[in-house]
Amino acid sequence: MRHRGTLLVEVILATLIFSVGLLALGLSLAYGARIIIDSGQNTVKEQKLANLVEQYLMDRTVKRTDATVNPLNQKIIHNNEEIIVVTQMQEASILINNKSLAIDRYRYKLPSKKTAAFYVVERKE
Amino acid sequence: MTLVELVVGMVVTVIVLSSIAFGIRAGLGLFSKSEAHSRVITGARFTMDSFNRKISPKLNIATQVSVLNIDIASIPESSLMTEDEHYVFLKNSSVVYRTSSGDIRLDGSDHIASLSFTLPIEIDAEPTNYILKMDLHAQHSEQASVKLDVPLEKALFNLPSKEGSSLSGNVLYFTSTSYLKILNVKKESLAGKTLSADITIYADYLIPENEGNIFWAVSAAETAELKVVENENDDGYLLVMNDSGKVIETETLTSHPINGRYVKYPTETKKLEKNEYYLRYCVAERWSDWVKIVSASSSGYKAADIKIFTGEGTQGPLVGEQVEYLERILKDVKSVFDEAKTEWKKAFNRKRMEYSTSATGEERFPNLLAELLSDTRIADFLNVNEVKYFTVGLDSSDDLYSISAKIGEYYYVIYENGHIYQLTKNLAVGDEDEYEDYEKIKNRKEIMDSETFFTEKWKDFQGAPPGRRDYFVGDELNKIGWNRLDLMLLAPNVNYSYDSYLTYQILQKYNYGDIVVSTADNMVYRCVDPFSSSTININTQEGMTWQVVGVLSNGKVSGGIVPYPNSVRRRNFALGTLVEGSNGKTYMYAPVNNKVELSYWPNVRAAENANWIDVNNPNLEKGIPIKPDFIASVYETGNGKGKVSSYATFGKVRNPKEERYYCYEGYLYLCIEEDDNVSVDRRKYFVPILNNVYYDYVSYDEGAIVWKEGYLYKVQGNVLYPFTRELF
Repeated sequence: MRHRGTLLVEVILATLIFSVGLLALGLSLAYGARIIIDSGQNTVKEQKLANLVEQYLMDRTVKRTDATVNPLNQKIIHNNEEIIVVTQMQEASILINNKSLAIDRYRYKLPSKKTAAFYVVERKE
Repeated sequence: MTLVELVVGMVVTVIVLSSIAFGIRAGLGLFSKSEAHSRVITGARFTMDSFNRKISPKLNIATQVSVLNIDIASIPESSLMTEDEHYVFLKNSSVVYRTSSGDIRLDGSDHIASLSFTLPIEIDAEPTNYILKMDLHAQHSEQASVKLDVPLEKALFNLPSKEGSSLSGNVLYFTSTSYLKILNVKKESLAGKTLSADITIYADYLIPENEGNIFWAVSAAETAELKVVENENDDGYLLVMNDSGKVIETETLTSHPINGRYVKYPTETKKLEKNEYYLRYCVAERWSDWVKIVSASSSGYKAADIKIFTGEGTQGPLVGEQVEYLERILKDVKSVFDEAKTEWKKAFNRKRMEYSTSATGEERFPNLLAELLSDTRIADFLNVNEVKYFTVGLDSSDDLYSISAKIGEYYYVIYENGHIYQLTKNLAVGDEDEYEDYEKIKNRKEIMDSETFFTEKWKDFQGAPPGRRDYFVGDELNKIGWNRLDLMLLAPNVNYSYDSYLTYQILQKYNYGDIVVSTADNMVYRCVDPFSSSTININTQEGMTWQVVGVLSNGKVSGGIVPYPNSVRRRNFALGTLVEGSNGKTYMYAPVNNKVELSYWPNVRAAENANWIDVNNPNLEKGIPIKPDFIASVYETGNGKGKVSSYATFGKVRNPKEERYYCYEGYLYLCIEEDDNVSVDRRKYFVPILNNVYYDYVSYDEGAIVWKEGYLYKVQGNVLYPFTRELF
């Protein structure tokens, strides 16, 4: 039997397989790094989300019933991209001293984040 | 194995090994960079989280916020700070939160490379004016390309006052106390101000028992009976109105939110016909669930400032009696001003420009004014029953800030804050444009669009009230003498407070009378030599340039007592300054014959203690000393007429210019006659600007009140120095 050519093919195949594995490993590392770097941008976006809440609360504090900020119009602008982050939830009520008070609820949440969100609860006018 | 196979095998081996090496290197690099990113991101997140946990609750209730652009070395040490003071700044690549308890490094802030704060300086009640922005720049120390910029915004819910003119800076300074938010139902924001009222009223956020909405009600005590009352002194709750007279939230009172007690609500909403209330509520720990409310009175004095009265009368020696007396005076002042505004409108509409009326007539204003003047118990006003003349200076009645009255031979000016000044006999009122025609204006009796005074005779008691401008008449030297009469309203045991002051900057030139704060020692100084102010450091006591007048506390010149210093124990003090001695007692600076000079802190050297009075010594022969009323006006530096000029060595002035001010040994002088190389002590050429402070070589009119060595004296005759005097 002749084996001289087979050895080369095997080596080449093995090298290819190894290269694919190595590439996969490299890509996974790069992907992991990308996620970490992106998490920095998510941190910025989350802080901008918190800033929106502060802006609305400040507006309510100063303007009271003449509020100039409508939460539903608040948006995050990040890297020239507008992100809608506020949604109004269903009407609800809370109990204070056994009395029911109607409230409005707004949820401040990044579309890409499933867990973190701010809720603003205010008495319904 | 052929040679070709061997070569190919070696090449493949090299490729494989190279790939492995490259992969390992790239992987490590990537891992290292990822780790750096993780550290920076985590650090930024932790820093923000720490800020929100540790600092935001304090910022929510801040009464004053300042963004400073300063060297962090000038930030006071914790031991020198009060409990209400807070600093946030970057130090050694960490965000540091400094309080009187010490420094706290915010968790994870190791990679913060820069930190800056931005806050609009506008104070209008606009939301954007009270958003504090913090720009956090995180960067890895070894991998400079790894960085993150996070913009953090923080709402200042308490609408704190803002100090300084810096829009952005590297240091955040703020003060905060427990209950801070002050909401006046008249929409006047008093945030950060001390209120003079001594009545504390609690307000609850109340829920109706039956159908209805929430509304506010207030009581004099937390334990007040839960019923609606109409008098603040009654045991119960008052409904709180807004500025339009509408009850806040327009609901009825039924329940107490804290302990669940209930009361019956009234059948109809009752409104309290009183609108001078200020709501104070805490916005940090609890949102609007209880309110502290204090009654409002005319501002200008603090309860702590009025504990002694040396005028005539029998109001009693007790502090409570004196406080009550002052409150009555201030209430009377307010009534007078309210009525003046009303009657001014009537007079204006009827083209009537003159008031000359009896205090027993139909007009309410002269009645009220006569009552007020009588109540002041100043001898000149006893038995006043006729107001011969008054003017009000204003563009509209809403701007009324002073009232002038002619009683007997003298004119008097009363300010909204209760200060009363006596002016010279020869006073005329006119427009600024008329200053060259004294004959035309001196007898006119009109209510002017702008209040302007002219006199034709110089008086020694000078120093116009802050904001007041005097005018010359023609070519003559005609100035107003402002003789403040209400010395009884000055504080005996605390220093003056100032609403505004300057922060000391080295090499900067200050004007005579400027109030300047040194952040190095927290002391408040008054500039008495503008020409040396840029060369003599405020913390070194060379020459008579800076006089200590008080201490900075909570970011305000709050009228406290200057504490005993840790280092330099010699200062130039202003007359009447109150300091803490080395033995812990409170002393007033009252040198012999009012001669101010560099002095040791009290109780250090016996010889120097002759300049000091222990204000709490019960055995003082003349009773409790009081403070003088030194010149509050600022005289600008310059060489023109009316500007402050320097003095030469030993008080000799070369070619002094008429109508120019000169400073010497802490006092201000006005040149009234030009000559060459004369001494400022020579009465012929210079007159001291003294207000009510006694000074040798000065003549005083009979009845004039002067301060000397800690006590008030009244001149018994119109005599020249040395005059006779009699203690009140």
